[in-house]
Parts: sequence; structure tokens; C-alpha cells
Amino acid sequence: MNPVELYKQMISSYPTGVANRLAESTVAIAGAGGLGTAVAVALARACVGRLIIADFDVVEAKNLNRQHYFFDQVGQVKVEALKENLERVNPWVEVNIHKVRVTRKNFVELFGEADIIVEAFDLADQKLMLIETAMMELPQTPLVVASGLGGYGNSEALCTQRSGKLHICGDLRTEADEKNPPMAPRVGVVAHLQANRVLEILLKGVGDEGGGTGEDGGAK
Amino acid sequence: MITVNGGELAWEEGMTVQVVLDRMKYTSHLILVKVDGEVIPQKDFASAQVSDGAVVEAIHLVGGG
Repeated sequence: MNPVELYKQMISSYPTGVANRLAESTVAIAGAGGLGTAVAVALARACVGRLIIADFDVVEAKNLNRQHYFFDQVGQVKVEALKENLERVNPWVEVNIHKVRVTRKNFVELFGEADIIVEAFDLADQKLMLIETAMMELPQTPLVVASGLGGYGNSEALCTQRSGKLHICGDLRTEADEKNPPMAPRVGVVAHLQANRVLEILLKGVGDEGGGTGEDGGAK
Repeated sequence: MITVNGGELAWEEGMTVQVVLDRMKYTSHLILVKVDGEVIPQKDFASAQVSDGAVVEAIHLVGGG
């Protein structure tokens, strides 16, 4: 089976228009850690056409407690390892990787072509830098960020809020630290809230609105 | 009167974003501020004016991801 045949199988259950809209979409992911790898895998499985992923780091053993890498990838450059993984998940997706630290200077060059930018950093001051830069340089591009995902349990507090082009997933208060380290389940919930909001934004106006949006879909 | 995160705060002559944060006792330096829908960069907090009737959102960002 070649990638196109695989793709046709993967979208065989999708309503009319959904596959096409996703196929022509580009999503940028800033960071390839706990959030970024989970978002990337979810969107690759969902058959988003193109992903742009930037991260400067290398896979460490301790990352495996939540990041979507494998034991035999410890020591590898993260974006290269993630691209390998995504190619195994869905070789049809176009994956552009950048082994680089995202800054104000390279922001537009890296993410200018994206329809949506997903913030997947770990440090709060980097999140702030990204949001400020995005709002200044690419104010029309929806930005889906995460804040508050530490620890375990209390899924009820995790939600998605919106302020204009900015969408925020998490509980907005639980910092990931020694008391509440980032753990796979809770990080995964927030990453999937982000990925789900990405689909909602991308698929706005396509056929019937997706089943989960209800009357007050957050992205509308 | 201005609105901060949905609640009311008395407006003051010459009010800047920093003054709003001080009145709300938001002390963290990792706060994203929007005034009437526009993001105000941190470097401008002490100078950006907030007019009477403005709608301010202050989102505290925490680390992790």
C-alpha cells in the first residue's frame, strides 16, 4: 500500500469536505515535547496535510515519561525523531522540521505559512514571548496555547478558553514543577484539547459542524 | 469604570496597564495583557494607557508542556 492508498483508507470514514479541508491545511507546532509530540501525532492521524515543527532539543530518557518518543531514540534530535515517528504513523502527511530555538527574529520565517500555530513550549516566559510575537507579527493567525497542565487527576479543571485569535487549553493555574510534575495523562488531555481546537478552527464552515461543538462551539 | 477579567475596577486619571495590574494585585511577571482586544507587550506596561471603559484581560501563564 502506498501513502496515498493509506490516506484514502484513513479518511474513508470522514464526512464530505472534512478530508479536503484538512488536507489543504498547515499547522505549526512550536515545541516537540510532551504537548508538541502528542499534538503532532493526533493531527497526523487526523490527516492534516502539512505540519511544521520546531524544537532545538535532543531526546532524553526522562522525556519518555510523557513525550511521544521511543526508547531507541534517546540521544536523537527531537524533531528528527518525531518526523520518523510521524512518517510511520502516516507517511502521507508533509512534515517540515526545524532544529532551532524559536525566537522573535525567526518566528515569521518559521511559521508564516501556517493556518494555525500551536504553542507547545514548557517555560512560561517562552509561552509569553511566543504569544506576544504572534500577536504582533501574525495577528490574523489563530494561536492555540497551553497553560496549567501539571500533576495528575482533576481532568474537570482542564478546559479550552478563547480570547479573539488566542485559544488557551489547560487549567490556567497548575504549573509543572516538583509538586506537580508533568505526567502523560494530564499532559495528553491538554495536548488533545489543543489538537481538537485546531480541528474545530480548521473545519469551521465545512458541512455540518462537528459533533462535539454543540450550540456554543468555542472556535466560532 | 474599566472591566478586568469580567469584573469592575475603578478607572483613574492616567491609568496605565501597570497600574491596573497593581490594583488587581497581579504580581507575577508572566502575565499576558490584552486591552480592548489588543495584546500589550510587557515592555509597554508602564506606558500603555488604559482609557475609561476599557476591557482588560490579564492571563497568568504558567509553565509546563
